[in-house]
Amino acid sequence: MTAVVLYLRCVRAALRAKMQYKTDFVMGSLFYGMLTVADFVMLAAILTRFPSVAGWNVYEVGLLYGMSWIAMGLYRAFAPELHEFERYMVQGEFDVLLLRPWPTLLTLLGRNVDPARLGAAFQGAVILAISAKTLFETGTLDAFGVVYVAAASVVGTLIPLGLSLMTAAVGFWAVRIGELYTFMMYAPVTASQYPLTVYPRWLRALLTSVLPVGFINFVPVRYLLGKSGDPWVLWLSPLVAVGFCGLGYAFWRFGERHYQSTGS
Amino acid sequence: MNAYLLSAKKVFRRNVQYRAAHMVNNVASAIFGFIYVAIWQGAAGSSAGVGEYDAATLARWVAFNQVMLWIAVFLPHGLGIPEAVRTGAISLEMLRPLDFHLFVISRELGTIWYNLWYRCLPLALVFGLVIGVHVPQRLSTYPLLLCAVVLSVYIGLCHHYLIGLSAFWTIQSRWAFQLLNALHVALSGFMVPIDLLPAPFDWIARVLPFAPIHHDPARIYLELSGAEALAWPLVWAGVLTLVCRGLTMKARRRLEVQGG
Repeated sequence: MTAVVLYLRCVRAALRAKMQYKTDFVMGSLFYGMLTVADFVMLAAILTRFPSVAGWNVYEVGLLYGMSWIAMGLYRAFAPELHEFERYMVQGEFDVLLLRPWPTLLTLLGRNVDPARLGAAFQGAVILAISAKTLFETGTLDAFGVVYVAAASVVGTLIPLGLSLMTAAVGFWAVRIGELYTFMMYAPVTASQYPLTVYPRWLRALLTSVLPVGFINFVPVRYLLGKSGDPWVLWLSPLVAVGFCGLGYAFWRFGERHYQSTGS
Repeated sequence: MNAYLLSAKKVFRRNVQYRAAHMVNNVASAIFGFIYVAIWQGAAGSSAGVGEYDAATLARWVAFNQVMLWIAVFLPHGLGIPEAVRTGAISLEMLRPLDFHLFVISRELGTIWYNLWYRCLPLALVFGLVIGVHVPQRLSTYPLLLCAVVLSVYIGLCHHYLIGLSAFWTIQSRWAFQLLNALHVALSGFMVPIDLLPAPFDWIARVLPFAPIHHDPARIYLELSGAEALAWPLVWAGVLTLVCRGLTMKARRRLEVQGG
């Protein structure tokens, strides 16, 4: 419990520090939001020309898209230091974290927040809301479904977090991991913005197992929209998110025990 | 002329040192390309396509532009100018008896030449094997394509040069970089041909200097357009040259050498 209190206090301090640079925050939120919109314009362009992507209409893809962006945006907002973990390895800054009498990950996450990234999550939420509203009105998605996708977007954050923990943990041995993020995170998360059925079978299998981004959105949404799948996937998805994140943390702890400082 | 060429050569050689690390980027870039192709095929696969663009054309469109990214778009932030402004090295760079605009651009050509061989070529081979290559049928396409690619690279360089120059006036040049990124994603046509964009965006994209980077060269390569597709790139190359040179003069006067 003290750990949580401590973390929240760290986050508050980090937030206060960030808010000293207000223009930076405003511009940042604006641009990250714009980038999301720009990205969505492309998708809208495809979907206004063709009725569907692999049988999914624009609102159905909008659900996937919004959920994926919310999960990623929240992760980027609350774990900027984990995302920059290479620096801790290369410059030996990790030693400082080891000096604190509480879990290193807690200290790491509490060190910094990037509220401007919430701009992307917000934009994703707008797209999700519009899509969910339309699907609700046409009767494709019931009230339970609307609540579920909103909650799942937040829980889904655990999946990028888990991917990031695993990638960072590799850093305990490999040190240089900047490139690895493209494989482990950017490409899978980008892929998760669209129905996984468009991809070749092997890629779909990869995205619902080793890199389980499919459980952020595709697997439960496919069932909620009555396309295919069984009701138990609604339970499975949050369990996978929690389990995968736990696995990431276990791997992180394992890596930590093998940490050798670079010295200074 | 020699000084410009020499700086390009040096940068090329520096890049070659990191070729193994860059190969990892290539694999990632190829994966992104395949994701985009898969999305297009998911959308257009069963239908006959839209207008001049059928599913196969769109797949090649994406592949061509994924390759183009490495020579016209993925350039270092502000071509290294913001960093030089921050450290003060800019005063030495401007002191050289060289044309600053030309010097910065030719230095970057070293990287671009490197990327052409070590990034574009492998990527093109991978895409070619998986998606298939479009071999232009008309002989006239080849010189046109060369012109379009050169103009695309030049316009890309000018964009980044202008971001670099913004560092003379503001320490927040990275927001200019982000803005450029967002506009590029939406309006260059690197994934979606701009004439397929929804209503106001199609003509906005047409008149802004992003379509000449991807849309126009891709149309020439796929033989959907002829020489007329060079009009906008030529206009923008001219305008951007004037803007770059004008602002360079202003920046030169603005330059303050800080002590210490």
